[in-house]
Amino acid sequence: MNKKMLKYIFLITIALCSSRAFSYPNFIGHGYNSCITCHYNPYGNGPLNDYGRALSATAISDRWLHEPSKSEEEIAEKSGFLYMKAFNPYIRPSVNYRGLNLTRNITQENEESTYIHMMANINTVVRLNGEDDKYIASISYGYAPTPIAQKGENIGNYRTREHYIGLRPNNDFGFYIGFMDKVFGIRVPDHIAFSRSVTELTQNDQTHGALIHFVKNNFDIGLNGFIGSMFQDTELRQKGASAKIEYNVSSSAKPGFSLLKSTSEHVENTLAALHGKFGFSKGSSALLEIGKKSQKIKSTQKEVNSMYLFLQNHILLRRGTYFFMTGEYFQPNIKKESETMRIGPGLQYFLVQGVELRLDLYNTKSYSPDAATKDSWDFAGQIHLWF
Amino acid sequence: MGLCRADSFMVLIKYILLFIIFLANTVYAEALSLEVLKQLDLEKNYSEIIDKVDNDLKNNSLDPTQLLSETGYSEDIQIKLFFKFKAYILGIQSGIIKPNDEQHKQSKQIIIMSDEFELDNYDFDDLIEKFELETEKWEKSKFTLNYFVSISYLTWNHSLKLEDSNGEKANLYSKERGPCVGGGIRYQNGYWGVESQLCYGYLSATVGEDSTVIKYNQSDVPVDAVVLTSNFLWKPKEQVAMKFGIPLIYHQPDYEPPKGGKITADDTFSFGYSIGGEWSYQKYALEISIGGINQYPDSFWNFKLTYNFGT
Repeated sequence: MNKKMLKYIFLITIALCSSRAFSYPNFIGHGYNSCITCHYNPYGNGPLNDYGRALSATAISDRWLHEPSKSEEEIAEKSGFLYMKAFNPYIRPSVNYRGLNLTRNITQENEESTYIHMMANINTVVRLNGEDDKYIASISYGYAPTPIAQKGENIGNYRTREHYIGLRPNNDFGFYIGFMDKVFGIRVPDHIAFSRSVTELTQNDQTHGALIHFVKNNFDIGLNGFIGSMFQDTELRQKGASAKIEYNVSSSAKPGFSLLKSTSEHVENTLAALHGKFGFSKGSSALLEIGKKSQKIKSTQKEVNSMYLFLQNHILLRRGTYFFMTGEYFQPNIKKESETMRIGPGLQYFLVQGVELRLDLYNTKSYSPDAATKDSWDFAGQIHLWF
Repeated sequence: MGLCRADSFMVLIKYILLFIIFLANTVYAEALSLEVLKQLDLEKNYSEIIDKVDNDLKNNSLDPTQLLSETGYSEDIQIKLFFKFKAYILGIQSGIIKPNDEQHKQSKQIIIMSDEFELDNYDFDDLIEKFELETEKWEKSKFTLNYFVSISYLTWNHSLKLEDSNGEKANLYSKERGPCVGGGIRYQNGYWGVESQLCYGYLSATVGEDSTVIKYNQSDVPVDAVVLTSNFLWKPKEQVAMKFGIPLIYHQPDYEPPKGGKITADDTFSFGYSIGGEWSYQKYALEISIGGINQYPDSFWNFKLTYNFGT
C-alpha cells in the first residue's frame, strides 16, 4: 500500500469520523472468555464491535458520570462513535489514543521521566453486508512512536497498524487475511511484559498473513500463516506459522497452548507457550503464561533458548475499578544463571466508556551468580481514550 | 375541620375494633383472624406477626418447624404463612430481626410449599428473591476458623557490612530467595478476616559488593529463615482478597568471609509491611505480595500457594 493510498484512506476515515478500542483478556472474570465476543478480530486487539462497546459502557465502566436514572440500556445504546447511536449500518468508525508517562529508576540519581504518545489511531470497520459482522474490512492508521533502539532515525511515525478482511459465515468459523497481529499466547496490553517483548509480539509487530479461526466442541483453534511485514526490508521479514489452541472448560476457565515457528534471512525463531485465563468471582481473574523461545542466528548457527513466565491477577474493587498484581520471570539464556524478575501492583480505572486510566509500579530484581545488584523501580501512568 | 373530625372518628373506631378483636383473640386464642393479621403493620410488627402465626399453627395442631410433613394446607393457612414469611424477610431487612437457623429453615420450607399454593394476590416470587439476597448476606457474614498449609517463594535483599584484611569497609548486598514451607490459621467471613502464618525457608543468597574499594562475591550461600506474617484481609468479592500484612523475619545466612576479613549483619530479626492480592479456587489460593522490610535496602516479595482445610 503506497503512501498516497494511505493518505486517501486517512482522509476518508476522518471524513466519516470514528475508534480503536480494547477489551482485555482479564474480562474472563466477567464471563467473557473469547475475544470475538467484543472484537471484530477473534484474537482481540483492534476495534470493538457494537456488543463490545455496549459491554464496555455498561458492565466494565464506572457509571457515576451518568444520571442515576439513566438505564443501562440507554447507556449501551449510546456507546457508539462519540457516544452516539450507530448512524450507518455499513461503517463503524472510531479513534483511539494511548499516552504513557514513564518514570524510570525512581528515587535514584539517574531517575528520568518521559511522556510517550504510544498511539493515536483512526480506525474504520466496514460491514460489507450492512447487517452484521460476518463480512468485514478493518483498517487502523495512525501515529506510532520511534522505538528507543531507533531513536534519531526516520522510521516513519505514521503507518497502518492493521488492515484486513474478515469472512465469518458463522460463529464457528472465520477466515481473515491482511496485516494483523500474530496469533500466539495471551494478548495482554502490557507491552513491556516479557511475554510480549521477548516473543516479539508487541504493538508494532504486526505481519501480513492469513488466519483461520474455528470453534468446535469447546475447542478454540487459531491457525495463522504469515509472510512478514511488507513494510519491512525483505531480509528482515519473519515468515512462518503459528497456532493457538484453547479449551473452554467453562465460561471462567480457558487453558491452552501456542506454537510459533518463523524465519527470516538472518534469524530463526521457535516459540512455545502454555497459557490459561481464569475467572474468579464476578470481575476478578488470573492470567498465566509460561513460554520458551529458541532463537538461532543463521550466520553463526548459534542458538539461544530463553524462557519467561507471566502471571497477572485482577481484583474488581467496584464497577470500573481493578487492582492487579503482575509477576514476571525471564531467563534470557537457560544455560546461564542470569534471571530477571519483575513484580508490581497496579490500578486500572474505566471512568466511562472510552476513558481508561492505569497506574503501574514495576519493581525489577536481577539475579546473577556474579553480582548482587540493587532493585530498580519504575512507574507508568497511562491514559487511554477511545471514542 | 369537619373532615379532620371525621378522620379522627374513623381512627378511633378502628382502634376500638382492633381492641375488640384483640379481646376476642385473647378469649378465643385458637382463632387468628386474617383480618387481624392484615391490620397489623407489616413494616413494624415483624416478630409479633411471626409469633401470632406460629401460635395459630400450633392451635391448629400444626408444628411450624415441621411444615413439610403436612400436605394440603387451607387457603387460610397459606395466607398466614405468606405473612409470616414476609414479616421475617422485612424484619431482617430492617435490622430488627436477626437471621437465625430455625426461622431460615422454616422459611425454606414455606418456599418449597409455595409452589403448591394458589394465592393470586400474594407475590411469593418477590419475597423469595429478597430472601435469597438476605441469605447470601447472612452466609457471608458468618465467621469461620480455618487452617491452611502453604508453600511460598520469597525474595528480599539484605544489607551487610564487609571488612577486609586491610580494614577497608564496604556495604554488601545479599540477594536472598527460595522456598518457604509452613502453615497458618485464618479467621474470616465473606467480607474480611485476619490470619497468621509461620513458614520455614531454605533460601539461597548471592552476596556482592556495592563498592569500588572491595571486590567480593559469593553465590549459593545457604540461608535459613523463619517468617511470621500477620495479615488483614479485605474481600471485595468472595474468591478474592486484598491483604495488608506485617511480616516478621528471622534469618541466619552462612556467609564465608574473605580471608582475614569479616562480614557482619546486625539485623537477624526484622519486620516490615506487605500488600498483596489473593485469588482462591475451591480449597486452593494463590497470593502475590510485595512489601518492605525494616533496614532491608530493597523490596520483599512473596508468591504463595495455599491449601485450606475446612470450608
